[in-house]
Amino acid sequence: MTILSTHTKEAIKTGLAMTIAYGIALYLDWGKPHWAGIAVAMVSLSTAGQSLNKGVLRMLGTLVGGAAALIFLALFFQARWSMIFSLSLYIGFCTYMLTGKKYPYAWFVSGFVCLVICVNAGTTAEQAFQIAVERTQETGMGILVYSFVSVFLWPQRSAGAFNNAVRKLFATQAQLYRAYLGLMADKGTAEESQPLKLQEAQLLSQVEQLLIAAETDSYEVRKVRQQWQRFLDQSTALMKVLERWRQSFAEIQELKLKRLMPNLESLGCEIDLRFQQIEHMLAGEKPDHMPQVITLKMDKTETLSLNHFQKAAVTVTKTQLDRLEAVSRLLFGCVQDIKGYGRQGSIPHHEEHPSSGLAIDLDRLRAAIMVIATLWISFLIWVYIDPSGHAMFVQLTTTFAMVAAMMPQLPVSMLLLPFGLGSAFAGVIYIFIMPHLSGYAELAVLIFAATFAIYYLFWEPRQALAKAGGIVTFVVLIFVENPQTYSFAKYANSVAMFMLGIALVVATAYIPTSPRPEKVFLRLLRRYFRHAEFLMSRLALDWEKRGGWVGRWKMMLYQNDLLELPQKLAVFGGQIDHRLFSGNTSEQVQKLVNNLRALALRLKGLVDAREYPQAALLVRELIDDIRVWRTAVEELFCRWSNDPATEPDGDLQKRLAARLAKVETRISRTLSLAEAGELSEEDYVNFYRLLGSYRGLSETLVGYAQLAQGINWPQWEETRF
Amino acid sequence: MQYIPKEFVIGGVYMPPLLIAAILGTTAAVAMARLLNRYRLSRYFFYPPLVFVALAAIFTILFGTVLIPS
Repeated sequence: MTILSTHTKEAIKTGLAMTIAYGIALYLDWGKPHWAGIAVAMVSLSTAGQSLNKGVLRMLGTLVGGAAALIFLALFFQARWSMIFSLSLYIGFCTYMLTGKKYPYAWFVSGFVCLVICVNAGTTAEQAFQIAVERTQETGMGILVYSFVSVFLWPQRSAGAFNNAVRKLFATQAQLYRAYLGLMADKGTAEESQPLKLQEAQLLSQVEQLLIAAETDSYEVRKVRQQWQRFLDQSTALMKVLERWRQSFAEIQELKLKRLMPNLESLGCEIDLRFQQIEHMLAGEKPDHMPQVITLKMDKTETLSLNHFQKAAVTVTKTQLDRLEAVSRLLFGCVQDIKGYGRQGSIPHHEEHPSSGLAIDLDRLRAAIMVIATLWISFLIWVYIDPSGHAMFVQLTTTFAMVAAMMPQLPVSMLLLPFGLGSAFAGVIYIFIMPHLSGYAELAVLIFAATFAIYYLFWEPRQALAKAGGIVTFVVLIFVENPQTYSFAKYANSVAMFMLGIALVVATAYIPTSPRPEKVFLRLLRRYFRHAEFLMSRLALDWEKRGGWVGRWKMMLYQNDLLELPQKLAVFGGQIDHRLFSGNTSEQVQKLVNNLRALALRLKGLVDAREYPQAALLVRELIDDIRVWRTAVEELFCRWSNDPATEPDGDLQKRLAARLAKVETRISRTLSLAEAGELSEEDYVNFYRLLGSYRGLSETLVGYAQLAQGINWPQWEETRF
Repeated sequence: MQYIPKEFVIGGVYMPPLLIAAILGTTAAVAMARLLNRYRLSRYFFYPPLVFVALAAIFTILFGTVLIPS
């Protein structure tokens, strides 16, 4: 007996579900049966859980979008401008939400369903409610049919894939920990651990997605879903702690850490052992070692021999190691709880991060503006020119713009090929094959065969765009209806509508600025330094939190944005066509982005260190030196925000060394002035934490200046089509 | 003599000559933009998207006048 491959089974399941959905819609004589077909195509994913989850989101989006459309139609039925104004606000809001992390697919569906109903009902007013109901019932039916097929025919559960991904994620994090432990002892290089870091981030995102799917289709995951969510949070916290720990190595590698921290080795072994035990538990084995709480001790005599900057560096490393100890212990308890090897009642670990409350993401806002502009332009074209597709031109173009907003790193023109070839494929079927068919049985065979072919040929994740182009054009351009009619003009007009729609979105992608990756990179880089400059200006030792809620909101907004910008820079940096820019390689850009990521974390560390109270004596005596240092960094950020290619005055490395020596002398003098008992242990720790953060930030800045000199910025700035 | 543009007929669908000229003009503008990018000549333009629109219009008129029979 031949064993079918997974993608063959998936293609058969989608083909079967598509055939049944069309059959039901035609049998019940529902208008626009392709809506049911589209629903099947969109919720067809590799596991039942993923499909059910996407189906629920699609249904939710359809209901919300349908309700919003009926409200708009009720309020502004005879007022086209008020209608399009309110509709554009709603679509803009949906676009902003769909580019976020919470239920993006539901927001996408909600936006375009509202548009579909408003635009369709706008021309046939008396049918508004019927169109809304039809859209909802056909979407619901399509989802239901695919869900039944995916549950009863070769069901693929997500639990297996989820458990595998969790094991891989944790194994990667353990490997990364061991690599960093070696790096701290000056063994190996940071570049060697780079692939592991990338893998860690990818696996974390994969686990997050699979958890949602596994919760839906696997009871064993669902019953401990809160613990799994906690595991995910703690894994994210572990990723951040590991990264911050690694960044503190540059300043401590020359020090004799084993003497400074006598129990460092035992702490390292204990954490390693915990990681091993967690890996065993994830593989289904009982742990044979319980975590022991270990507090990292400092040797006071050895510490006295260090200069102040070395003490600061050691304090920063110790803080990160203490965090690592806590996070690894909590992770152990969490996995123990999940696997049922005794409950430790793991307390959720709250990794400090600024609340993202009302922080507005400027790139998401930009995407919303682009979609609103596309809606208005296509609406005006419909009203004043009336292109192919008529009202459908508006809904199609805006939907394409929303898709483009979801994938800002990909050029919109990439849609042309899959949709063009898809239209040709659908045209052959519609013009040459379908007129020869008679009855639903023959049509069903055709629908099954075409769907199977598309899903079978384009089954790999990287072919998603080709698959979407193929299935959407097939479903839309074969115009299945009761009774079936054939018209070449209808087909030709619809193809023209697809192509014109994509062409319009290619043009509106330039609103408000060029979408070329190097231009976006430069724009984001300027914003990065603008925000860094603002944050630096708020870090003065004598700066008090004033400025009311606007000041606090700006701090929160800029901090969030600064931490997210390196990820966006990495995405756009990876898309730059380096053949156009001689002398620059993708590795150079990657290094620059890594440096910016480190800089953002350093700045965040500085903001956190600034939160701790500082002794009045230290503030009074050192405020001038710290101010000069801070304003120098601020000025550098300001210059880079205007022009990232600006080279700093003189040798930054030498200037930094001179500044460090000066501050060192001043600190020694200040501390010798302090009377016994005037400064507490906590005062010292807080001060050294702040000092270490300043030093780390400055070192990273020197690194950026060196890397930036290697990039041919003027070429990136050149205007291009 | 009254001027009547000659339409293109594909499968019974009549297409205006301007549409064909516009398709050809836009395609030529895309090719030209790629060449200008390739040889770094686009840096002499202040705002390339507008230049692209202008190129498309020029090519459309050119094709409409020279290539498309009327």
